Amino acid sequence: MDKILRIDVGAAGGPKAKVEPVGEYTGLGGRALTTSVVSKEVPPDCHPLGPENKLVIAPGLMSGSAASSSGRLSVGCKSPLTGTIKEANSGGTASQALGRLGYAAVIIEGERQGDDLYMIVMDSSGVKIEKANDFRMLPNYDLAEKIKTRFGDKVSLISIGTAGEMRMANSTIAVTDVEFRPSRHAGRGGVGAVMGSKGIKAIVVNAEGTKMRQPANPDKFKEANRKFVEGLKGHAVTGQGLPAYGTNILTNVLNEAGGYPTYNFKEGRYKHADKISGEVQADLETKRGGLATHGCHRGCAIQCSGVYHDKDGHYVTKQPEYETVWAHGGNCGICDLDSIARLDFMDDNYGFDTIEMGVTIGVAMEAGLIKFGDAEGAQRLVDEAGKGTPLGRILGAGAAVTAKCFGLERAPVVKGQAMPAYDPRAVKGIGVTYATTTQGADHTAGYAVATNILKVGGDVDPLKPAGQAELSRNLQIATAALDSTGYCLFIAFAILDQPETFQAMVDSINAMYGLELTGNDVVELGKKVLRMERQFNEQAGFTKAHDRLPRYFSREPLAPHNVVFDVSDKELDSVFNF
Amino acid sequence: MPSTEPVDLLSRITGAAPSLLRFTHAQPNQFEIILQAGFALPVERPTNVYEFLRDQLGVPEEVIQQRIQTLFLNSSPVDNLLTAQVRPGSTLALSGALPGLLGATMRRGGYYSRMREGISYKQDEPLTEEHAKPFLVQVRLYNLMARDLAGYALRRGILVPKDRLCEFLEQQPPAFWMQFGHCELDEKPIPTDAFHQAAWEPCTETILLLLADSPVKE
Ligand code: SF4
Repeated sequence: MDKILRIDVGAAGGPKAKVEPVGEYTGLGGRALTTSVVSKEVPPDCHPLGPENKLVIAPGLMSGSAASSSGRLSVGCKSPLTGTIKEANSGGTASQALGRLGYAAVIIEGERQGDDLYMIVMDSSGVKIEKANDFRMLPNYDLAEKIKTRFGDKVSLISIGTAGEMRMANSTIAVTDVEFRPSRHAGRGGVGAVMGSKGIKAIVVNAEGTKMRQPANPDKFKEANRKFVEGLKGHAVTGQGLPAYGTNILTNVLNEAGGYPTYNFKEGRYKHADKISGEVQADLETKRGGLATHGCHRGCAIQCSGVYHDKDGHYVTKQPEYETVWAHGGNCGICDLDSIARLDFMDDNYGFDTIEMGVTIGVAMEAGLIKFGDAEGAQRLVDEAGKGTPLGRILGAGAAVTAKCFGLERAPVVKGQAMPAYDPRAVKGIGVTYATTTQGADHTAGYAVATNILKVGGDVDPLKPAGQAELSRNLQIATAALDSTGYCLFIAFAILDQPETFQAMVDSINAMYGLELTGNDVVELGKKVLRMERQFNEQAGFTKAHDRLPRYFSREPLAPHNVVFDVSDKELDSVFNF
Repeated sequence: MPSTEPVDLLSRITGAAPSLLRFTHAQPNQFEIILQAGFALPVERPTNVYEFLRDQLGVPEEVIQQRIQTLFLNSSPVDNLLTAQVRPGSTLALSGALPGLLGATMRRGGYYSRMREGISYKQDEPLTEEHAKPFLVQVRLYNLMARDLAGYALRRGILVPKDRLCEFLEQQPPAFWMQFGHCELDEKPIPTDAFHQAAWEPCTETILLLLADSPVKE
């Protein structure tokens, strides 16, 4: 991965490709790379849909190699939804393919000329750009069918649906999975709108004829990767829980804890949660001939995904994630898995982030547009958004805008981005992360839990309880580092519990690159990424006042525990003291 | 444990015995969906969570220590099994290890438990003599715990609403029925096809579901 592909969409005669050495970005991957490029090359005060913004697509450091579960793709830009810097992360096959072709990043930049849509085709012989006006307003699945007839289903497709083309603030970038379905998405923050603003509909990545990236030290790499996979398979979460139930394993437990936001974050428990739990979902998938265990890309040792079929055994969508089942399910009072799966498919097809769309519909329900529990009404609303009707344009702008248009205070957002599936009143540490992350309300910014091994906060005495701010800080640092490797965040539990698995991961990176990284270096990388992101946001006009949850979370108690969010502003302001 | 014990206990708690469905089944973990939705267990007297799991449910110590990673008593995550008390009105939920930050946060005695301290289990008022009598405890077994502990719970005898049991049985595929052995309802043999044809009629609104290790009646 020693080159960067730049596409200047403002070049005379149509977009031009230029391949250049990776240069000053050498040694960076994933979020570290997207953040570095956006920080250095995008003016923080620019408009996200303006010519100064750039879309940076970067495979993780280990993508394209034989390293297990390392095919995550980072997409960075200034976010149309939040106005902050953004890194959205996706599974699928494209990251491995880009890595194998040797690209550290694809940067789409410049000012679109005219109204034409374009497709970029990358293969081992180079890069071609062609007009793609025939694809105009095609949803992702229809687009993938067309691409398949020309390129087959062994290539990878990175694309936008209708939402991205309409430059909606809720719009994703889709990535195809192993079955060439556009089911994996860089979902959060409206990254699809930035791709749409550059007039790029699709990127076809064809890695045919290339080999896996070879490690600098093959023997060490092989051994380290073997230990790493052994560690993943041997751990109860990565070896059993996630493969058996997927992320929806969390529904029952969050609901039990009274931290499952229901009816637009009004209550902490949903009375029908047991009908949409991961246990029921996996059971249904298996009975209907779908799959309860499946990988989003080849070479994943965990396989947290699955395939959801309807009652007649036909494909509906990939296994909806916990966040999706919550956003369209419990949060909207919908307890029918088939309807939720259909909504997941519609989101993927039009190119909407399922969290943002589910929360938006929850807001619309509270506003009285449709009733809580109205599954058909919810599908109608997603359809309106995907087709761009006037109401759909409002919904496609996200939960914050929808609440504003309907005159509601209760928009569960931070920095304009919808909160995910954990109520911050019940789990206050997650509330601290929502409030302070550089990305807007985001759970993945606190997903990596290897902080005690990494010694992110120094040598913490495990008997001394750390404060919420300290824990959140450490998690955010560790996540920023892990997001840069291309390893899936779901490896986190195995590397938290098993120091030898963590060491095997670091050894794999070292053997791949011929480095001698230590845990300290990893922590430093995480801090560096966060500092760049904070600085970008400050220059974009964000202050401490933006690192807050909406006030009603401090005012309205959440049943059943009747708790409010009461972490002090002072503590929130101390998260970034490093 | 003699198989009539839960029936007797239930009679002492509710004043009337529920319909008893006794059966053999080679794979009790296939009852997962009903276990995650919740059931009631009769208990002799209040006890701490650890003793409840070991003595009432019959779960081996190593399973309690290693597999039961996350517990909730009345919705509150529990860190210390010895101080948390199962008492009248209690609901206990058990889960295996869970992914992500949430998993780490909810985990028993975990490094991140501070992040949910507002909802963590806090010591109840001390019990008085008046509490020392049989009662029903609500239990939910989630994810891997439903699979791991299905045999223990079903052998102990679980109380489930009739409607939920009927719905569950009607939805089962042939593979489930192939594992189903001998079965009797209130001591009368009943053919398994009666269940998936909905051609059986328990007399009470809740059913005591009891797994036997060998055919109950030949
Ligand atoms: S664990 Fe899940 S999300 Fe992560 S790489 Fe594997 S299949 Fe994809």
